[in-house]
This record gives sequence, C-alpha cells and structure tokens, in this order.
Amino acid sequence: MGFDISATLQSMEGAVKNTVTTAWPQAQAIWASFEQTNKNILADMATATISGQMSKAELQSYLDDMKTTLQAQLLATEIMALAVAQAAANAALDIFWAAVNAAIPTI
Amino acid sequence: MHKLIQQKRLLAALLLIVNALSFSACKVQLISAYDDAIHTQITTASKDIDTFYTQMLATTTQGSTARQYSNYASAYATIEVELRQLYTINSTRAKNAQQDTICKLTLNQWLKYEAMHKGTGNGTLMDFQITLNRDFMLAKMQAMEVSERVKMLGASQTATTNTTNQ
Repeated sequence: MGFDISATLQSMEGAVKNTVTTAWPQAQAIWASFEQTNKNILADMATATISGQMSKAELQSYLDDMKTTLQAQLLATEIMALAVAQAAANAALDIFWAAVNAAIPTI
Repeated sequence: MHKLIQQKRLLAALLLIVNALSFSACKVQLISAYDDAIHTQITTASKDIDTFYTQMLATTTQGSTARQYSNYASAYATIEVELRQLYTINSTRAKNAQQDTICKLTLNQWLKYEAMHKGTGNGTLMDFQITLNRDFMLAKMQAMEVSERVKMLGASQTATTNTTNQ
C-alpha cells in the first residue's frame, strides 16, 4: 500500500477540525460560568456599596481582588486553548502515523 | 534468494522499530497531564472554603464575639495548609506555569482575607465582607478547578485515535 500524501493531509485536517469543533461548546460553557460568577460578585459589591456598608478603601481592595480573579480566569482559559491545541495536534499526528504504518510493507 | 528474503524481513522489522520509536516520541505536550487526585484535592478545598464562610454567616451575627478571629484561627490554618499544598504540588509539575500562578493568587487572597478578619488583633467581619470573601475565594477555586479539568478537553478524540492505531 502506498503513501497518499493528499489523503493523509485531508484526514489530518479533518481530525483537527473534529477536535476543535467538539471542544468549542465546552469552552463556551466554561467561559459562560466565569461570566456568571463575575456578575454575582459585582452584584454583591454593588449592594454593599449602595447600602453604605463598604468604605472607599474596602471597595478599592475588592476591586484589586476582581483584577486577580480575572487574571486567574484568563490563565484557566489559556490552559483550555493549549489543551485543545494539544489534542488537535496529537489527533493529526495519529492520522499521519497510521498512514505511515499502513504504507510500510508487511513482513 | 533465501538470503534476499531474510534481508527484506530484517529491513521491514527495522523500519517498524524506527516507526514505533518515532511514534512514541512524536506526541505534542503543551500542558501537564490531567491528574485526578489533584482535581479531587481542588474540589475538596473548594468545598471546605464554602463551608467555612457559609457556616460563619449562618451561625454567627455581625458584631458578636462568636465571630471573632480567635474562634476561626484553627480553620484558617487548616485551609491555608490545603491551599499551600495545592500550590506546592502544582509548582513542581512541568508545563504548568498558568495553574501554578492561579494557585499562588488563591493562596495570597486567602492570607489577605485572614489578615482582614484578624484586623489589628482579634477582629471580626461584617456580613458583606463574609459574602464577598466567599465570592472571591470560590471564583479563584473555580478557575483552579477548570484549569485542571480542561486538560481533558479533546482527550477523548485523541484516545480513540490512539486505540485505533495500536
């Protein structure tokens, strides 16, 4: 059996697409849950500020916490992107090696 | 003729070995592998933090002596140990810089909130402070949990392909 480079490349592209397409809804759901968390926090901060319980210094301190929370969420998103890229690359490589294996003459 | 067949077989075997070796070396690794034990540890710490603040809010009242720092010092230390352990474990994993930072940010925030409760001695907290401290701690824990769980994203497809190839 020969090695068909065009067919292999097409299969590799298909594997990448399939991995990314399957992971996309999960990534969206995770980002939506982060958004919901942030909305709840901002609502609690607004309540405490409007009712006059929270001082300006305390508000500033919690805004700093919001910054680090966003930083943590963005880092988690970065890991998510890397995980999808890794899975897609490995799926493509698996296709490539399967094609190479098939092209090698049997003993 | 017999010698030629033998040489051909030897060449094919050699090609298979080279191929197998290349195959095992050619895996892309951009992040550390998913660890179920670490994931469980994260969810346990998250639950402990939630329980800590929710109980404080439910069982004590604003301004009461029951809410003073000294009554919670031991629980603060227990959770600090859990968070420090997560930070230590994650900082020793290769290709794990992002999660390592999340753990560090979470631990720092816990220490900040403990200092807030402690005040200048044996301080206390207002209801809104407990609510917000819980909100922010759980948001960080959520990011930490997600950063471990997403390492499995797309893994099922890869695993299926691997099984087919082997």
